Amino acid sequence: MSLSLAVILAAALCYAGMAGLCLAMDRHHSQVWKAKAPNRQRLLRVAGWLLLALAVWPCVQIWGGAVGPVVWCGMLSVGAFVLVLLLPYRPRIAALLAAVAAGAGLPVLLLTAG
Amino acid sequence: MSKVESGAAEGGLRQAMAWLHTWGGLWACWVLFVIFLTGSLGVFDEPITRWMKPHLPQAAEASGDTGLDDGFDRPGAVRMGQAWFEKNQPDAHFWGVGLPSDEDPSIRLFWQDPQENFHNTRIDARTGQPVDGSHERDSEGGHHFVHMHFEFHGGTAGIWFVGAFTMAMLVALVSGIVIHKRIFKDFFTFRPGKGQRSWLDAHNALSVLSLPFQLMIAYTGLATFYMLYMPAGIVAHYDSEEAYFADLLTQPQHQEITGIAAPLAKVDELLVRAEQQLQRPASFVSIEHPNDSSASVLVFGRFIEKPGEYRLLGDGGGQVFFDGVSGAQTDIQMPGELRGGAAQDVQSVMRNLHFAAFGGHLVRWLYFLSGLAGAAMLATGALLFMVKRRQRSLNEFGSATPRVYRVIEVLNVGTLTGLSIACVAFFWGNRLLPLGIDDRPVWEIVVFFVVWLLSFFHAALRPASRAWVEQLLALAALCLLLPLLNWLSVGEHLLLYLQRGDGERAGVELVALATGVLSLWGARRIARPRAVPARARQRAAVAEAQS
Repeated sequence: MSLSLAVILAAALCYAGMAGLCLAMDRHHSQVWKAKAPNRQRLLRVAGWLLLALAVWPCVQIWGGAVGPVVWCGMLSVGAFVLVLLLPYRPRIAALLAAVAAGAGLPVLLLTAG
Repeated sequence: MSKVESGAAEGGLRQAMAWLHTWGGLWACWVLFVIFLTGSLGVFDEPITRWMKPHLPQAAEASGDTGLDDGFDRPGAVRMGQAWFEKNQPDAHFWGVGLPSDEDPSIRLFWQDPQENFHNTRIDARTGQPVDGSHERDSEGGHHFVHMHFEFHGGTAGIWFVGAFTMAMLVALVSGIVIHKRIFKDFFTFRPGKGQRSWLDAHNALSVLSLPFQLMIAYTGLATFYMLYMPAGIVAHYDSEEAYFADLLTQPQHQEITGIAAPLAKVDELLVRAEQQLQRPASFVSIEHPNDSSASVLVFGRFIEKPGEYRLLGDGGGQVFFDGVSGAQTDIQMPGELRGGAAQDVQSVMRNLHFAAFGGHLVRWLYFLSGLAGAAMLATGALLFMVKRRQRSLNEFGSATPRVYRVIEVLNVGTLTGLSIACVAFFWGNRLLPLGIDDRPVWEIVVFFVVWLLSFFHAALRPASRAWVEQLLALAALCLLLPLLNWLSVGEHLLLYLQRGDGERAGVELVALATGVLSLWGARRIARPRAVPARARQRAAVAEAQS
């Protein structure tokens, strides 16, 4: 895995993961969808945690077991900041971007891991 | 139980912590903002130095090459340095030779005179003649920001000053966590355009989302200077700091000067022996007490960044100690070798975590952005204090309240925008000060402080809202025109840097441009009344005219 791919992948997974956790909350769920949907929210929460955990992989691949987790912490903050800045202005685009990030990031992750 | 204690108990822990966070945070926030902004810039001290010294070559990508032949004659450089010292500074207590490399192809000489004062000069690696620096842009470079960050250019007293405020930072962080009722519920909450609520949201989001970094950076900053902040153990057991380190790292003890003359061993030969054992080029040779029977020679291996290899511990370049008279090797520490035990290793990891040099470009950018988030957290906190009180005075200081508020407002303007202006002015000073003047780097720092002081005067003389707008506009102008100034003064510009692939120098200008655009946007937001209230006012005016 190249450095730039790892950076993009980690950022995409962190952003998508944070978006999952965020949109699972009633307050933010209602910014994108009209009605509450307990099943969808539960799914978003699980997917969010999963994506954040998977984002460790590209970091450790490039930076190793010691520095990788440090980079991951930094990427978590970056992902959350981007989301928090985008969400109040363009909630639907924020959600769409998360779907694209997860949808593109996961296959790439699988390809590079395999 | 005293009144104060019972008051706190009645209000509960959270209220007591709220008081602590507000007032403890307020008196510390301006100094901490300086520490955070200059520290963030200090992450990029090398690129900034390179921008300020256009004569230096472009940074080479780390190759990880440890080959001894890199095109520089280091033994020859040592001979030249030694000859220069023998002729010009035979009585000095210390000689140091910085060896030529891609970073700087000249030989840098350092010495300590018998009065214990340090000096330095440079000689040409080909001719051995002093480098004529009068046509070069002598500069303090990015070190200025690093020194502001950890000592305010104030030496040991400055380090203590910064340490005290770092403790205040930890207090503010922990009390902030206690008073934040809904950390997880409000984790992603930011509601812009709602006045005080938006400022509080921004303050909370900035703090919570970067909290791991903020706690880490404050704590590791203190741990870096443990010898200074917690000296009791060392003072009780050792005569000096050197003795402590020699014991901890099992290195040769520092020798007292004897006054007995003894010829110095052939240092160029010691260099060759050291390099062969370290298996890498040396970067620096230090000679303690030259031509005295207590002489010692220390050769430092070059710090070599290996691409794709990132570590928090054991990244040293190694060093070899020699007896300076007999030339016998007294100690060798191989590159990456660890000494001093687990506690020392933990401290090294913390120090490396603070210094941001362990993970390449991306980690530097993450530190830069996280540091700026910290600065923004302090700025929004300081602004929030005044936003809360601008509408309705809380009368904390009785009849003096308006005057205290005014002082706080002036400190806010002079620190938040004033310091930012001073930082850019430092770059302008580098390009505008005449070449060849004595102590040019010092004059650059003078420019920095004078501009900063002027921004406080300006803030004190203008109404607050005007002061904010004017200083933001000044900041925007200085940032946006910096590339133009560079082009006019030294004939280099952004496109040239990008074309050459000089990411460091281009980065400096791109960050300046981004800061300029942000400041313009900020000035416009403050100067232009909010859209909704304006429309509401208009409607009210129309209604009034119709009635």
